[in-house]
Amino acid sequence: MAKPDTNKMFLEAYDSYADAIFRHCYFRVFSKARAQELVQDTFMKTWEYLEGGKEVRNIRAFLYQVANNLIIDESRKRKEESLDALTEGEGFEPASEEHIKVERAALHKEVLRHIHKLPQEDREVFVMRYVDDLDPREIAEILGTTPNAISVRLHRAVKAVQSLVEQ
Amino acid sequence: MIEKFFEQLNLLKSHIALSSEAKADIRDRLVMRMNAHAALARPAVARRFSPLVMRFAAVLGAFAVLGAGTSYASEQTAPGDALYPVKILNEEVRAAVAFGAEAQAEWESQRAQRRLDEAAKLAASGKLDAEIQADLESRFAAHAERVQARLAMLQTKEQFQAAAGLAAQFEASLEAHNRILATLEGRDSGRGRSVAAIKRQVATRLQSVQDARANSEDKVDLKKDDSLEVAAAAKIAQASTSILAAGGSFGVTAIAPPEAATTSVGNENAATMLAPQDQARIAPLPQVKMMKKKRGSELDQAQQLYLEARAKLEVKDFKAAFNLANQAVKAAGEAKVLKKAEKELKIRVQQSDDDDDTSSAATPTTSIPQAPDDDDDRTSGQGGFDLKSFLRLRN
Repeated sequence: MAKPDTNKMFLEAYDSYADAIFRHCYFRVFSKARAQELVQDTFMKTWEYLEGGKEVRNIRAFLYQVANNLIIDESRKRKEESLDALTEGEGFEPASEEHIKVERAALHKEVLRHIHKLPQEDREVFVMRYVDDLDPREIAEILGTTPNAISVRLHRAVKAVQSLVEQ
Repeated sequence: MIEKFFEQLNLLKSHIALSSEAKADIRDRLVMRMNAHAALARPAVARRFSPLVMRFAAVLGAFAVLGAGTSYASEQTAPGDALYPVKILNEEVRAAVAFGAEAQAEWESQRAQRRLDEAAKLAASGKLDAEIQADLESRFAAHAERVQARLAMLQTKEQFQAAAGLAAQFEASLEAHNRILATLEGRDSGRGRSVAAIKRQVATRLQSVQDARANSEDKVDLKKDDSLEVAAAAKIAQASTSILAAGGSFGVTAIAPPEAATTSVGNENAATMLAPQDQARIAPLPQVKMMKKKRGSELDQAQQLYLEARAKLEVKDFKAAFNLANQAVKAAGEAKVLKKAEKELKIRVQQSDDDDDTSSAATPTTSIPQAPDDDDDRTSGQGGFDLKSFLRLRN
């Protein structure tokens, strides 16, 4: 069973990283509701791991790892829907501030559209680097590969976005 | 172009975060999940069982956590019973998976009621000792705190309809148990002190919840963007369901003639205020068959309030309709708890001070002229309020 200081550490990690994990999930699945469920599942699974008495050296990296695995599992199980279908009825701008101008909202949707068009593998590293602000070394740790390999994938992802933007 | 893209991306991501409510919801579920294991290790419970029983309970609990099934046998247990830890663990798991703050608050309200049910059961059989009493009291306090925190949050967010509903549900249980415990306190001189301690806490909470309900009912019409009309109709439908669940019925459909209509709704006949087209769209109001059972007064009160709520709905006084129906739900909930306690504990619960005025409640004469026949009203089975028909007619 987890120790009391583990409980404290875990809840502090939730308070610190829940928003970041939500943001990551949102840019991967494009649905607020799904992203919210994924945040819950990520922390539940992390807790179950800790509860078993196992140790986590870098909780932030571990949370991204769990979230990433959940997203990949989900994408294997069901075919990805169109961006319009995913964002239908929830407003794609998650802050859903009424004062956000329609013009800005259209630009935001365009940003999401480009990210949505990236293959899962490229989207994964692109979101970690440019949404989560993780550096290649951290991304490599999460994905269990080398920083060099991540740099190559990132370069490819940025090129892909650039070509989508210029179309 | 790519610079513009990154500029927009940075702007967009700055807008994206969990809502504070969602963040708190998930945190609550995590805490409950974390507590689920701790529940098995609570000293007051753990000391009573052998390691073998605890292991058995843990295995059963693990099945519950894994969704493989729940131990129904544990549901009827009270502190001191072998399977009581399983019951508590199952409750924690259910709390952890309850979807949304509303569902969680309702479940916490039910859990508070369960603790009071257990206290009453043990008190009735002379088994409520000081240790169990302290354990039950602290568990009850924890559940009540969560309900009241949710109530406060709903009021802060000006969700007064939801707050009034939650307060009514909780108040019904507290009011009923206040009376049940008072009956047991007077009956059992030996254990009276343990019962009195719990009763005191119930009475304090009751006062606070009553105030919250009154305050919320006073403001249910403040939020202009919500349809109070639909909310009132939905509340009336809930009242009708609650009355049926408490053992009431709407079996008699004979309608008193219009000239007989004088009620506490008001001295004027409510329906005469309606335009003909409005009268035509209102389903006929069934006369409620009065219950003459022992546990009649709360049920009678619920039925009376229900009738008044419908009359108010028909004259488009939606705020009054909502509040009367909310109070009907509360009265029916109270009747249900009292009826169950009298049956299970074999006691006769003392009448509350408010019950003296039962003669008027037992003879409601609310009556609305009968609208053209509308079979839809009977689709609700026993003459209760049919929300679907109402909404269809409204549109």
